[in-house]
Amino acid sequence: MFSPRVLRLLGQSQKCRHHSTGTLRAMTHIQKSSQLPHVEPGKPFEVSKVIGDSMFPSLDKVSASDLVLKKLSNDQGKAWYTITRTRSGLLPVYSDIKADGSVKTVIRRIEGDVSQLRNDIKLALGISKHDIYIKDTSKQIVIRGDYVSHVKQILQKAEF
Amino acid sequence: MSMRTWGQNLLKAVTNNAVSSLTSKRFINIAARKATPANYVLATYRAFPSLEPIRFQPVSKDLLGLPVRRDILWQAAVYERDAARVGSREILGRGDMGYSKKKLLPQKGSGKARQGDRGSPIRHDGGRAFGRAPGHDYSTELPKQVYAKAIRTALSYQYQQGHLLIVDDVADFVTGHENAGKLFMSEHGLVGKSVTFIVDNFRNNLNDATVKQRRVEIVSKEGVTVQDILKPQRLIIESRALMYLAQEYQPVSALNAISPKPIETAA
Repeated sequence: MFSPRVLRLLGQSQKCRHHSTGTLRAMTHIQKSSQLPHVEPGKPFEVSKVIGDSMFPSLDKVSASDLVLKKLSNDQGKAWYTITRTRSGLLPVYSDIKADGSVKTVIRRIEGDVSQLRNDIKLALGISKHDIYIKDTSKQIVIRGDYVSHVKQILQKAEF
Repeated sequence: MSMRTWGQNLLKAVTNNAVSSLTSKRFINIAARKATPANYVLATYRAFPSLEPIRFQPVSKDLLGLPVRRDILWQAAVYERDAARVGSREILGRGDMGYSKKKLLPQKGSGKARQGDRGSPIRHDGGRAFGRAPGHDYSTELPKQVYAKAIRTALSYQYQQGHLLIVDDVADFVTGHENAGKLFMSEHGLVGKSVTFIVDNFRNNLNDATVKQRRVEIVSKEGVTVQDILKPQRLIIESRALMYLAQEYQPVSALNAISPKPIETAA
């Protein structure tokens, strides 16, 4: 595979130059994985109405409240977070059983201030700060020990 | 009351106490900090090549407002790099070493250890057992939904950094002269910066004018990868191409929920 610079220097056909990075890379990608649909470059496409309306609505169809963060209480603090439910409507709190038999509690799907939520859960459970931590790459909270039902209870009380 | 029941009662009391303390004021903080993020971001659509703002367009937070998930981006990048490997490395096996294929010693009677042929992998200068042949496929797999989320997360990241410039119409120059490309870069302070264009269709003048720009890439919308989105310092995308990506890598519909809820119909 050539870099786009090399392709240009080689004076490849116009089509090749155009899709210098994209298509060549995509082709290997598609051929090998066969996961992504094969699409002819530059082929006209129609945006489905559902996607057009839901992801790119016109300005007059969007209310001002859609564009700002919605606080659900009168709390004046700046920190906020939310935990979205899974597609099956459950709270994303799981137990992770390790090979040595120890159990960790994992909280997923957190948006907003993760460290604030960690602090609040730490207070609510009354556990040490060494037993609760954030996985920074995935924004998950992990608690050492099985606190699944406790955490779910806390989150249900807070109406997540 | 035996000692044992006393102990059990005490334990019960303690746990009840713990649960009731949970239900008192400790969790109030959590409820008070609950908030839902905005459903849409107000993206600025721009003219080309002036890049002047033309209008605002609400775009779903699922496309441009996702939080950065480095784990997902990393997985997608690894997936792409794996798929891009040609696998042309040639490893010599026992038959490829150029030695004789003949057995070195008779099986019995020499008084020495048993020997096979000269290229046997057991010898220090023998061939490699089970060496990979060229055309080896290094590609790995990634769930479609994860890859789609990676694309949307990458776009969100560039948008949040202010590095995503959405062109309302066609990102093309009126001329293919190289000065058009030079002027564009200098006018917008992009000299020395890596810039990637994602175009809906082939843009002849854009291509010709930027051929000599070392750090300009043009990518067709069908071939966009996560790395194409993440790498450049400025990402210039046509609105049609953005819509294409939104459609191609759309989030999973709530209708595909694991346990379907009844759909409300306007009967």
